[in-house]
Amino acid sequence: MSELFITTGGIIKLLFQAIYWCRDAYWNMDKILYQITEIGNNTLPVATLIALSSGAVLSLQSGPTLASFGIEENLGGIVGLSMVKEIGPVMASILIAGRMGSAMSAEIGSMSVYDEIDALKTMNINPVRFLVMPRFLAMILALPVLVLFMDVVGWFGGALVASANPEIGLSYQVYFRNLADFVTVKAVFNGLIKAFIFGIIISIVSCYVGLRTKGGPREIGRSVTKAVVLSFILVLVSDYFITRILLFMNID
Amino acid sequence: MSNNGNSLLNYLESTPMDLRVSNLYKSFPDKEVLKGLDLHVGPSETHVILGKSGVGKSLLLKCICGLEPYNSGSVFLNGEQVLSDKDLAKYKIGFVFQSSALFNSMSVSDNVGIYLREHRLVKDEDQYRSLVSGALELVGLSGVEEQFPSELSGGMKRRVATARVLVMSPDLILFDEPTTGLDPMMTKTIGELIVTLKETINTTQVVVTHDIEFGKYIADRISIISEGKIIDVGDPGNLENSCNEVVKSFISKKFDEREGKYEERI
Repeated sequence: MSELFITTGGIIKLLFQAIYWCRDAYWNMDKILYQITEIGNNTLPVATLIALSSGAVLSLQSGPTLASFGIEENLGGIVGLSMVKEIGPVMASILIAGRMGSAMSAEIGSMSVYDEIDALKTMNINPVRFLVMPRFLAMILALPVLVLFMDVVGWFGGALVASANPEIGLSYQVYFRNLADFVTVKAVFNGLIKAFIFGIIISIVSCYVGLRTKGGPREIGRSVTKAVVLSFILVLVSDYFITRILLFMNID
Repeated sequence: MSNNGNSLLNYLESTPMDLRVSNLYKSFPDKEVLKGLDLHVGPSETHVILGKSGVGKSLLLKCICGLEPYNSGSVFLNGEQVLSDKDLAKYKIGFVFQSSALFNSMSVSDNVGIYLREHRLVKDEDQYRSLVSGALELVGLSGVEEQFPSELSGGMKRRVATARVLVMSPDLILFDEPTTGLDPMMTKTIGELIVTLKETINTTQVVVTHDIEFGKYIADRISIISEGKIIDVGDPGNLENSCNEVVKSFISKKFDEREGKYEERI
């Protein structure tokens, strides 16, 4: 139980330290841009595939049922809203936690184990400013953009199945007109708020676990597993609470 | 020495530090390591701390530079007691780690210049390159700027780590087992480097090692650590004359790197 409190306290403290060091973002722009590029390079191809499949599956599951009631023209709105509000942010976060969160905890964990963090401290270089802040900012900037990208690709995935599947037989024009009617800026904004918060969770959890790594190479592996699992849990659990809050604030 | 080397020496502004450790205690849940340790290192002195493995030599260095908190006791830098990280931040203390602790994802040049870049101490790229090259030249490693740590030998890594510390203009340099895992030739090179640093930049140096011959070669004074305390301090030439039985026993043994233990001298 005490470990739970230590971890929670440590994560919150690291979050505030990372926010504090954002004042040095201008001087660390090269590191932030490098991290954003890393996120893009490592996730875009997989994100495209996942978003295309997710949109296609949504269309495939809902389309025939809607068609049986004669209301298949609503498919665009259903796929569109599902992508921007839930599937886009959650899928992107799972992907980012798996690919980038693991890389962050492995890299920082390895630096902890091999005295590199201590070396930074002896040179009066704050490890949070040097290591955590650039990753934190890159993640909260890149994840919403990735979500927007996945939303659009997901819509196209849904449209492809809607027009190609004879059981649905919906034209692109009808699909996208309905999507435009239902998907409001507010709905997209809803998904971006979630992505922003998920970005905070994944970056801080991954960096925290990395910084706490002690021992040898085996512990680095354990840290990676711990960071990814903890990020998944926190993203999925917080998703419910964020949705509740957004509904309460009438942003949903 | 080239222009780069001279520009580094002109740039260095270290003030040799007076270091005093008083009644230092440090324990872990299962073991008490430092048990009331006292130590004094004067300005510009190269002080060697000799002792067997596991007696707390490296831990002492980490306590001095604030990497490890201690249970009780005091550390005084230039006569001022260190009470917080802010007190420590006033001084430039370089630490050469046993593992070298180079950043593997950065080139040698970026490793050496990280302090200059992160504290924004250089005006332009030319000055940066000149200081980095000067530091590498001082440790005898010119021309490796673009290589990565994975391409270097153990001895080269230690020298790059020393160069990284040099650009800080350190008031105090702490060397943690600088010869562990190195062959005799490289051990000699590292010894010569430490002596050269003493002559060129005149900073205070504390070196912990278990290698008696190496310690004698570089030291102005030697302290012997045993059972968590400094049990004897003296000039390198006088250690054999110590009245302390533990010191006599330690000095009469030779460290076998392969076996990892001390053996009787023949």
